[in-house]
Amino acid sequence: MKFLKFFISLSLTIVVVSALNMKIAVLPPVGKFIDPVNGFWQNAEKPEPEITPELKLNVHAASRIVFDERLVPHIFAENLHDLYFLQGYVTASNRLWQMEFQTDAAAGRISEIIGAKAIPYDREQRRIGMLYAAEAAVKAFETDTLAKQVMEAYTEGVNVYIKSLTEKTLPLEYKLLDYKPEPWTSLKSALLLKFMTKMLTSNERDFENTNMVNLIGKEKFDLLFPDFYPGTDPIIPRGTKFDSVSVHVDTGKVFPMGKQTAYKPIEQPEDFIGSNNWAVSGKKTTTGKPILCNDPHLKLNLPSIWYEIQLNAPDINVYGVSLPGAPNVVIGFNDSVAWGVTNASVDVRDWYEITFKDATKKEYLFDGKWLNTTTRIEEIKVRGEETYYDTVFYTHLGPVVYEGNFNDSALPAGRQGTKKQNLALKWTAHIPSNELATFYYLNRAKNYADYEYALTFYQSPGQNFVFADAQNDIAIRQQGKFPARWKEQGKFIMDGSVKENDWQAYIPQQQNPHIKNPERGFVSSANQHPADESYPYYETGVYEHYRNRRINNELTRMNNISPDSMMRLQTDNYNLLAEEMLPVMLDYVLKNKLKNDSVEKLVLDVLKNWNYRNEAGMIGPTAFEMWWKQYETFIWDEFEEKPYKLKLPHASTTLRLMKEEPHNKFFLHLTTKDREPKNAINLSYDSFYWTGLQLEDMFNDANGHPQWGYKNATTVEHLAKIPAFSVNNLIAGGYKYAINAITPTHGPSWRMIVALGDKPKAWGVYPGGQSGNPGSYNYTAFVEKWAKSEYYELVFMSRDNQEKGKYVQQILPVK
Amino acid sequence: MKILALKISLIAVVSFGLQFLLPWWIIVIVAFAVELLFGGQTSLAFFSGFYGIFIYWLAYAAIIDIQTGFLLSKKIALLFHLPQWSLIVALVTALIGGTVGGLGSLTGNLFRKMFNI
Repeated sequence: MKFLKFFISLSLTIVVVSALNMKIAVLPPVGKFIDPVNGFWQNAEKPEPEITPELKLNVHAASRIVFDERLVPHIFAENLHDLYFLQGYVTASNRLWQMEFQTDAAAGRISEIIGAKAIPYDREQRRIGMLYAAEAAVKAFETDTLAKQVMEAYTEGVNVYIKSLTEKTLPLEYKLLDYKPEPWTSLKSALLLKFMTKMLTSNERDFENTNMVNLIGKEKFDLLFPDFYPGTDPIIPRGTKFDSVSVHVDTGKVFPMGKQTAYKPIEQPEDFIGSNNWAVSGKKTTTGKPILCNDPHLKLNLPSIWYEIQLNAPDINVYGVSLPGAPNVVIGFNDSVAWGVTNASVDVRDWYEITFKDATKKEYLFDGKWLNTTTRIEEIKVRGEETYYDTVFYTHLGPVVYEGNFNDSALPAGRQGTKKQNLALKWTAHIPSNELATFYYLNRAKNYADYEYALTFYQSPGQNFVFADAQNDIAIRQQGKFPARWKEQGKFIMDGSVKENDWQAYIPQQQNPHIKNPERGFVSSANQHPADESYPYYETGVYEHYRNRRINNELTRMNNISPDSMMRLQTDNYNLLAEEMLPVMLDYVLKNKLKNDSVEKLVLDVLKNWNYRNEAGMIGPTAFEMWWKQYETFIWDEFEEKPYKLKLPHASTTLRLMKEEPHNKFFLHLTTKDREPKNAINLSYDSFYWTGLQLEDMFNDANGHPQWGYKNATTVEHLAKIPAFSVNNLIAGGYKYAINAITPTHGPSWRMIVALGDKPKAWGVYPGGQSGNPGSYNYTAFVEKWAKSEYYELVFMSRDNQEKGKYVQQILPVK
Repeated sequence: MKILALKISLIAVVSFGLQFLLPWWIIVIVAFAVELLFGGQTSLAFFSGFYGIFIYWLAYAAIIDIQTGFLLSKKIALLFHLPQWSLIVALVTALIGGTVGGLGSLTGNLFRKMFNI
């Protein structure tokens, strides 16, 4: 009996302790996690950061890191090795988990951390060639001795930090997800760059275009999806002369596909992945020297995609934002120059239908011959289960992403009008390149010539590099490796067996659109068309139409420009879409027979005094957005609910049709219940009235919140989608098509203003904090200021002046 | 009672010392060993381990919580769907630790009782 009691107690104890020591579903090992000695409690930080005043690390010479009050590290080193070693070390000290998680996501290794439910995601990353591309990139920059040295030093710094970690000091997310960091490698840095590339070059809509053109025919497609929107204001001003074509390509067949494609496109970024940048010449500024501005728009995450840093060594003194996981400063300034980037948005990703010889898929058809495929077996490790193996066939065009059972569940086979195909992906991300060199040289640039030299190494992702220097040069160049296309090549899925459909050449770098010191006194870009119709090469992409025109209108109008006026411009909430669209919508409403009831009056009142600004406290923007979206839904109802993916025409196209052809057949409603045929005029009234009803409900409901700030409320989401570590319901104003492009999920991930001169002065802010630890008071320190459209003055130190430093960390060599 | 207080203190102090070197579940072994060494009424056996760990973990967690202004514990409370009260997570920490300690000491006591001591 006594033995039985003991045995029961013992068993119960063992069961409870075991349960508390292992990961169960989404719960961490609870006992381990809540243990005050080694668990999450040890990640809680005091309000005042504790920074060790002296560290012994593997540096060659004595160095120091000076932290200012915002915890930006200012690294002072004596040689290349120590500089990048310390960049790796300090970045890892603050952002290690983010570095590893992002690169694991890029490599398709999330199943290793969270289990089988991540397999579809991981398969997609592997099949589009992310790991393959990163491996090729590593080989490329290892042939460059300088890049290799920089990479090795950075990697060493990260690894020294990782080795110093104990159970107690592990970053919080490792404890929560129950795993440990592995050693950093240059492959991981390459993966990070591919992660950014994927984010910035996935904006093609080949599947949607193919489906649409098969639905409505080429003529209607061209009407609804023109290459240039009315009033396009390209990056390179109209009238600029371009050199004629130096690379000729043979035309292929644009439109061979007979059916819609059965597949769902792979992960696409929102249309909001864009950015603004501009530089104003000294002749338009109060200082007589240029002012450069940049705000890249990305999905807003915590920890922030950017990490502020200053790098100082005998040959370099640069400040800006870096990407945790890669060396150098990516957007920033030094004593002589400033630079920034916006996404080129040019299509560098094409899909090809592959004809295999037989079920073995060992050969495929190209130009009348059977070529051999190569096979790559992707090993996807799965936490708690067997490894998943995925075989990917590679052609000279790229990996055959859609094949076999990949994305199979998207549509039932045999669904009328759609087909399953083997689709290969051709993508500039697969081409080995050395972008590191670009940032290395930009960081050290002293003038325009240095900037040009730095850009010669740059291939992917295509970016518009804006530039300004203290000698009063301003410039912009769309740099990247872009295929030389025949007209309309790349808009649709192509037949991969036709030689002319392949990329035959690339646009020579010198012919990428660029300009220096233009007449108008400023350069700018906001993801719009790089050039007008006179540019000798055909460029297709998903281009912006509103932010860029607002920026150019304002910069043309403005004079005596100061940093303050640039801050106001960068956070401008003006809604150009509403300015162009609302008068037409209102005009059409009034052409209908009105009821003159309270519903109509409500909408008219709200919109009457609206100044087209999407400020947080206003109701006008809510009313407009709801009305316009409903109007758009009514107009394009024929494109709804299809078993394949489509994309709606651009707002400017809809507007043009509304104005010029209000009785066009496209406005006819699908429902036969309508008493009268629908057109742009009565649909305007229908959507207007619908909006009034919604607004009435919002006003009557205590939790209605019709103010724009609530409708557009932003979430800055933790990378692992943990709400407790995210910032939710941030009220800030802004609009996806305004310069201040804040949306519920995306926005300016960094805002920077640089005024050049004898000594540069700069201001910046991002929605996050330097520390990646949710237990730190610096995790979200900058969010409030960002939401209020305010800036911090950036502290640019020198060897002689580090007085704004708050914590100094001496780094001594290990004896 | 004095023995109980002694056992509780011993469990707390020894666990505190050992936890710097060993995994968290060493608290079970310590509670087991102390009861084994001292013995006593089985009806009180659970409490020596429970209070031993409860008091020590609560103090440790609460000190950290107060020094850090409850910043992280409030997020952890949100994460585990606990109410957003200060110190609730410290309390839960202590309860879990205490329960585990109590099971350890109970088992130790019953083991000793098997030999009629």
